[in-house]
This record gives sequence, structure tokens and C-alpha cells, in this order.
Amino acid sequence: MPRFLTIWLPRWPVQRRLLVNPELRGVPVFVCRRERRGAMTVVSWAWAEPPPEERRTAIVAGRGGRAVIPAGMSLAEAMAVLAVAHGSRACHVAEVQSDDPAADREALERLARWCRRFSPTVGVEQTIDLAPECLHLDVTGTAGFFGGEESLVRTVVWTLAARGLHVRAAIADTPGAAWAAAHHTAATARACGVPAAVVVHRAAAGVRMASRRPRRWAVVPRGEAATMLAELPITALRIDEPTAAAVAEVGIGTLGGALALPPRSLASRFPPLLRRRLAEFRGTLAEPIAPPGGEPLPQESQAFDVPVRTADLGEHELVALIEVLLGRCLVPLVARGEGVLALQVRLEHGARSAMAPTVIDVGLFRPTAARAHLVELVRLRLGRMRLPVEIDGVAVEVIAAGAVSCRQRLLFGGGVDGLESSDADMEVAMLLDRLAGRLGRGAVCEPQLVGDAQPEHAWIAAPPAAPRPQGSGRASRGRVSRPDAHGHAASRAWPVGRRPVWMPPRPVPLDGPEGEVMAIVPDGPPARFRLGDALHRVVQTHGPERIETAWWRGPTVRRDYYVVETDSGERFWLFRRLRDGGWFLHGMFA
Amino acid sequence: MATTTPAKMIAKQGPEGLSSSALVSGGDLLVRERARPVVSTGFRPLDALLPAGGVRPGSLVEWLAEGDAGPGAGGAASLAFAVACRLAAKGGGDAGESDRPRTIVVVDRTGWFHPPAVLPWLGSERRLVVARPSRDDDEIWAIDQALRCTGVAAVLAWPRVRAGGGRRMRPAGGSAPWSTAMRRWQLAAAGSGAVGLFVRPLAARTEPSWAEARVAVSPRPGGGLAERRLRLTLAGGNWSAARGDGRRTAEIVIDLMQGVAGGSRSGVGPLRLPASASVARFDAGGGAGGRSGVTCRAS
Repeated sequence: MPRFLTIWLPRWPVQRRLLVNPELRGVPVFVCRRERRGAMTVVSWAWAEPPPEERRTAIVAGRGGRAVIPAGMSLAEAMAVLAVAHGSRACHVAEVQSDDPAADREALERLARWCRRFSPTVGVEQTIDLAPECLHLDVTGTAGFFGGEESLVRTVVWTLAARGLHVRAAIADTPGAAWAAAHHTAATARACGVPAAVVVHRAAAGVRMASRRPRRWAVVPRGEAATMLAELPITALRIDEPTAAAVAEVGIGTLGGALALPPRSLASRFPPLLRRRLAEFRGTLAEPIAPPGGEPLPQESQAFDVPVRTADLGEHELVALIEVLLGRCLVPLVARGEGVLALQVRLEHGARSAMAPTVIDVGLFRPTAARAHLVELVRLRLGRMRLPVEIDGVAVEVIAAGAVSCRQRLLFGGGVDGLESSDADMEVAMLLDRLAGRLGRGAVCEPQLVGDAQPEHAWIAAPPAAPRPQGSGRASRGRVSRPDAHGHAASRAWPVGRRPVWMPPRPVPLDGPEGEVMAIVPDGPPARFRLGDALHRVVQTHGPERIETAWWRGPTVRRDYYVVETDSGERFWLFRRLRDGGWFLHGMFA
Repeated sequence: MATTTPAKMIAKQGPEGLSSSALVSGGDLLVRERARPVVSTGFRPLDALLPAGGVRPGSLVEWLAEGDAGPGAGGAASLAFAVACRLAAKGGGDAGESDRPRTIVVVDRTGWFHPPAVLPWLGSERRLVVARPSRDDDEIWAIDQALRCTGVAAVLAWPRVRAGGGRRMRPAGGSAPWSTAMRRWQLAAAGSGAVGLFVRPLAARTEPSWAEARVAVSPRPGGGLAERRLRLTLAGGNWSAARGDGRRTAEIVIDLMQGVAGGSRSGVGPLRLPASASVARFDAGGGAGGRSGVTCRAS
């Protein structure tokens, strides 16, 4: 009997963006589609890692702390729901990005190619009207290589978690049954007599702590899918809303109820999708798995006969071994004109100790086939991590690849038509990789202006891109016209000299111990202010510059900003909050 | 991967095999550094103030800002960035005209750097990269790596400044690691041609330095919103320590629109500023109770 494994990646559009920009994990991320009349509707959203203080504040304030925002809700409504659940600050820091189904599918296909390590037959689910979020794997006969089906599905979940992906997975007789079980792993585990939660041990600050987490994988025994999954809701059959409503009209709300319907009545009473899904669930209608196109990405591994102590091996020998494996991986890539964009090195030590391998992920901002550069990036990561005591083997795998731009240089320097990147740009690209390798990808950015009047959101820390051709692109000097995160031109919306070089992450209140402001007239500019221990006498002010945010972004921000110059020549950026008249320091013209 | 170290090279070639091209000595770096053409900062008074008549590629320059810690509000960071933009546009280094480095790297340990203030200065050719290390050794390493890169024109940083609570900035660490790190940066810059521009508090002028010049920056009152008047004082440096007596001063005006020299007062040489330079006034746009300001509205 065939067996299928389904991997579900909940909220895949958001997860894909978090992989590219890990710094977005701390803020709510909305992926929105622009409708015909200009309104934005939410395709997917997530807040991967809300800060702990936010959670405490939400609980103290009596808010739920969990926003329920279904797909299709307008962005304005979603912001309102978010503000109720998490407070207005969550709306201020929220990141809104445009939907890109093609890129989502392309990334999912790349992940499917990566999953060929678990099965030779991997494909992206075929959906009718929704964006795909699942992968189907035909694992017939392959589970034995991983120590059984339970071990296989657990390895899948843990390996993808090591790559920063939140997944759920299940194994069943058909892709339809596996899909249903993957979307309801806890219920499936309960039905199979397995605890619905797993105990996770972790050490924090020297204290070993145990916590219970919902089980993220399930295995449905052979031939028992109809029995074990009978209590799941009818939506587990992958049917659309009209079909689910039609079934609900006759009082059927579970998958078992739908399976009990007489086959003869299905065609006349219900949409054809229900009959098809039921047939796929039972396995009477084959559901082909279409593997994604494209060449598989190379991977090389070296297993040791006996476990080797890393202390005996030494870093130089380990790096030398990684370099050899990397060289083998680069051969097929170079042959087709590609370079490495993301690389993963795994130090395997799991066969005996049942531990996940130590993973070294290396990401690059532009593809490269330079082995020495890649080895240097791996060495940077190795030097900052604690190696396992013993390893059984080393595996090097190319996670993502891209076309390497070949340069045709002129005899006396310069690229052809001035469009090719220079040696200086290549050096900078390698520098960025090194910086990102040690500091983290989120710690290296190329600032870009965005068209937002609120100073905190006037720029984004975009990941460094490929160098722009010289003399092309932007507008004349003094006027900023750069593409923002959404590909639109962001023009500078403020007069010159009104933005400080030095800005605290949050405005510093001047009505408390940090400072004090004195104005001659009510609602007028400050005449003197105290900052810490220093008293500043204002001799010149510029302003007010009123900044208001739109109502659909949550609670309105209304501020009057002043550029104040003191008698010593120092310039500060102060604002008065119009809501209550409170004064804040929001920058220094350093 | 085979690493090349002096010990390995000696073992491979023998002591007599070490030619002048095999190892680059400090003297070679100095010769190479001195052979590079000096680049003007774009501010004539500042050029006249600096020992080399401008900024020499492959050197370090310290900008000392008033205050206990951090760049303060006196305009030192703005001036340093304006010089960095000039270097990215006109810098020489070891690259040719077509391969001129045009990238500015800002190593911001505090997270307080606000790029919109200076992004308009970059123009269409130059590129700004911001690195935000979270640890002291990462900061030293990031500055070192950026200075070693031949594609970088200038590295701007305010090392050893930490963000404390509220508005406060505090200095960190002792002076011994600082001197070592700065020597390391100087060698890195001398090898690549990049220029290190470090904004430091004025209190740091008593610490040892490997910078070619140290310039104290103090703001001068007056000037419109689009310009900034600064008074500069040569406060020493590696090559000019003997002249760091504080008597050489200059005054410049920065055009905040383009990050270049502005205003008409650009005299060269020592300046004696009138004591009545600070004149209290309110501009027409704001002032006492003025309501005719600029309103920005998010869309």
C-alpha cells in the first residue's frame, strides 16, 4: 500500500518573507493584495515573535493577546482587530507587503526540490483557488531509511525547523488523508492514541525547563484513515466554502459524515468537488504528484566510519573537508553558469545520539561560485559556534542558487556599456557577505527611503541588493527618488535640514526625570528645555512641522515638530504631542 | 583550505625565499599610503586645517564632538558624513577611475543612526551600507573588515559609544583595547585605501590615537535651516601631534541640502570669531507662537 507524507507550511507567504528578512519576526507582517478599487485585503498575516513585554501588557490591559484575522479581510479592519488584541503600538510597527503569488510558488518549488532528500517524488499541492501551502511526498518504501515512519516525519519537522520554517506534517495512505491529518495533527494524534502534546526540554540561564507544545506531526496507521480521521471537520477534505456550506445544509459537519454519504447521491446533491475529494481521500481516484521542474541542487556528504571528536579533528581539518565537499557541489553549478546563493553545512551526529545535526546556514546577497569566499563565510560561522563533541559526518548542500553574471571587461578598464559591476562592487559584495555571516543578515542593510511622514517609518532597512549600474536609475542630485519596498518611487516629503542624523528608537519624554520644556506662550515653541542635567536656552526655532498619520494605520499620531537651536549652536528635534501637549525629544542634529 | 601565514611561507620557501613582494611590511604600507593623492574634503578651510591638505586615502580621521559621549548635537557626524560622500565621489585609493570605490559603510553600534537625514546627499552613484553589530568585538571586527575592503571609500563609525537608558550615551571600555583596535584599523585602511572617519566625544582627546588628524567640532549659532555653521579646531593626531595646540581653527558652513560646502564664509586659516556670534532670533516659519509651519501627512 502506498504511503504519502504531506508537509503543511502555514501562512507560507509570510514565512517566505521572514526567511528573507529575519528582522521582521518581531513585528506583525501582513501580505496584502490590492483590489480593483484600491482597497487592500489581507492574504496572510503572522506575528512570529511578539516581544514578551507586549504580551504582558496585553494581558494586564485585559486584551486577548491573539488577533483572529482571516484571509480576505480588508487591511483597515485587520489593523483594527490587531489594535484591539495587541494595542495600537502593534499597528505602528506592522509591516505591510504586497502579495506575490508567483514568488511564493517559486519558493515552494525550491523547497520541494530540497525535500527530495526524503523521497524521490515530491510535488507542490494542486489547489483550485487558493495559494498552495503544502508539499506531497510519496514515501512508499523510503521510511525504513529513516528508522520508520514516526522517525521520518519527526525528522522532516525538525530539519525544516532548523531552517527557520514552521511546519506540520503527517503520513497517511493517500495525499488527501495526509493533507487532512497534517492540518489537524493534534486531533489525529489523539485519535491514534498518541499524546497530542510533546514535552520539550530546554535550558535557559542554566535552568532546565520543560514545556508542553502541540504535536506537529502525526502518522495515520495503514488502512485506518477513514476511522481515525472521522471526527475532523468537513473542511479537512480540501473543499471550498460553497461546497462546505452545501454539505453543512444537510447537517453534516465532520469528515466521517461525508464519508458515510451514499455515493449515488453525491452527484445529484452536491457540487462535483466533494465527490472528487472523497474519492481522492479514499484512494479510488489517483492524485498525481507533479514534481517541480528545474535541476536538483547539489549536495555532498562524507560519513565517517567511527564518530570523530571535533577536538581531535581541529577546525582547519574540518574546514578543509568542507571545502572539498563544497568544490564537488560547485562543479554542476558552474557548468550551468550558476553560483551559490544559500548554503547549508550540517555536522551530523544524530544517528547514535538521536540529536538533530548542527546546522551552519550561510546566506549570500548575490550568487557566487568562488570557493574560497564561501569557505571563508563558513569559517566565520564555525568560529562563533560551539561544535558538538563528536560528529559522524559532514554534509554540504546548496539551498539556493542563482545565475552568476559574467563580466566582459574592456581593455582599458570599465564594463561594457558601463552596465557591468566593477571590481569594487565585487569587493563590496564579498564584504557584505562576510558582515552578514558574522553579524547576521538582519544586521546589515542598505537604507531606503519610503514615502511615510512618520519619522520612525521614513526608511526601511532593506537587504543589500546587487550594485546598481553607474549613472543609471535615480533622479538628479538633491531630489530623492528611490524605489521603496513595494517598488514605488519614494519622494522626500520634508524640507531639507529637518531630519536629524541621530534619532533614538523611541521619543524621549521631556516631562519627566529626563527633561523639562518651558514655552513662553501656550502651544508655542519651546523657549528653554532641560535635558538630563543640562539646561538649554533656545535662540532659534524652525517649525512647527505637523505630522499626522492616517486613521487606517491605527491610533492617529499627531505631532508638531520643532527644530530648535540652542545658544551653544546645538540643534535638537523636539515635538509636542497634540493629544495631550506632552513634549518629547526625537532627535539630535549630530 | 590552505591558509597562508608567514610561518608557512617561511617553511615553504626558506628564509631567503621571502622577497619584498611576499610580505608587506609596515614600511611598504607607509610608502603606499604616502603615494596616494590627497583628496579634498570639499571644505577649503578644513583642507587647510588638515596636515596633509585634505584627507589621504588609507588614513584615519577622528572628529571630536562636544559632549561626554556620543556624537551629540553639534554637527560632527554630519560633517563626517559630508566628507565621506566627498571621498566616495572623488576618492582615489588603489583603484582606477572606473573602479573607484563608491560605497560608504556606517558601523552603528547604537542603532540611533537615522539615514533619511543624509540619504539625499548620496546622489546617484554612491551607496550607503549600514552594519549594526551588537557586541564590542563585532564592532571592532566590522570596522576592520570594512576598512580592508578596496571597494569601500569611507567607513563612518562612533566606536565605543553605547546606548543607555533614555537619551543617554555612555562610553565603554578602557583605552588599551581602543589603541590596539585603532592600530589594527589603521593598518587595514593603509592596505586598502579606505578612509576611517570616527566620531568621538571630546573627552577622548586625551586617549592615544593612530588617526592622521583629530579635529574638534563645535557648533556655531546662526544660519538657516538648510545650512550648519561649525567651528573646527585641530586637536592633534598621529602625524600632527606636535601641532595639536588648539590654535589652528577654521569655520565652515555645511549645505544640508547636498552635504557640501555652503555659505560665503569659507576663509582659510585661523579665524577669530566674534563673541557676539550667537544672536537670538526666530525665523519667519515658526518662532514665538508662529503657526505657519509645514504639515506632512501620511498617505
